[in-house]
Amino acid sequence: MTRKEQNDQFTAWIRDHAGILHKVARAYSFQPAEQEDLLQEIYLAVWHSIPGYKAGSKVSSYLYRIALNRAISWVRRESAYRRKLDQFQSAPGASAPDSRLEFLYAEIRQLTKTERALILMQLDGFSYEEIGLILGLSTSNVGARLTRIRQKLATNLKEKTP
Amino acid sequence: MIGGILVLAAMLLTGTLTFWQQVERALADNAYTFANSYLDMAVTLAGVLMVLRGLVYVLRMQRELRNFKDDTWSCLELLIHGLRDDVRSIRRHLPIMLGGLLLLGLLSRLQLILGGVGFNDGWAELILVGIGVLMVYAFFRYRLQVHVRPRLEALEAVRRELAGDSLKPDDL
Repeated sequence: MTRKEQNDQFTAWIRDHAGILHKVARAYSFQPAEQEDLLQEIYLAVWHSIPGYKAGSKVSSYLYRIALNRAISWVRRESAYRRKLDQFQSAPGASAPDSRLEFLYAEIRQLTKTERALILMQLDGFSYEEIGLILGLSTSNVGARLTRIRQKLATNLKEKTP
Repeated sequence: MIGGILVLAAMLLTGTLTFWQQVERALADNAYTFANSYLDMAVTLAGVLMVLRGLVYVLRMQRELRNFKDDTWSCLELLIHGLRDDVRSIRRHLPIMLGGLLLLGLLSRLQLILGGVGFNDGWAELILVGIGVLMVYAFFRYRLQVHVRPRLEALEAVRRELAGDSLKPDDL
């Protein structure tokens, strides 16, 4: 694959599937600056994965796999992050435009990294088999974990809504 | 990428050739003994080893970037393997290499003393090398504690989570 072909493919994928990458970045980072950092890392991973894409397989599934793997393996230094988090949370205008969406993301961020990956893919309509292939889990394992995640989310939401 | 590897390969070749010429000269030229060529050879050898290590890092980084298209389990395995390799390098290989450099320095001073030259300002050179070795070791230990180990522990925690260690028996 030539550099130009790789460029064109990258541009087309970002144009058509940017939502997936933004969704994953938002679920795996807490602050807008961190989301930008993670998104850049995901873009870089997508770029390097273009030659490995097999024509015929779903692009959305492929991009989800790359984005989730990058996000799951992304580790920030806790002490520096915590200081910045405290500073940012006190700043005015820190809330997202859609408060319901931000509320949902805030709940998703309370889950573990693997749980976030599972619930994000389920919300996007992936089957248990597809989720299992992406994460390297069996279909039954995926089903059992998703049941537990849904119960956890339902309990949390019930406690927080009047 | 190819350009970067070619540059590193050229640096490696240059360093290796330079080191080989220094060894040949030390063997052939009576005036160019191990004692008075130690610092030159140590710097060249350290440079060659650093470039080799740099090449390993670049190739590993490329492999990791290409690996994100695999399933999450395989991806994590590769990242954890790389980080464990880092830990092993810093905890075992680096002290051996730096200790070896210091030992060669001591041997070079001993050669001078046994040759009847006695104590001279060449010891200042060895002290500088010692300070440099300590600084390099301290830098890598800091990197191990602050960057490498926390990342390794975090990724191992995610792998355990993926393996279902946190699942209760009635969930399966």
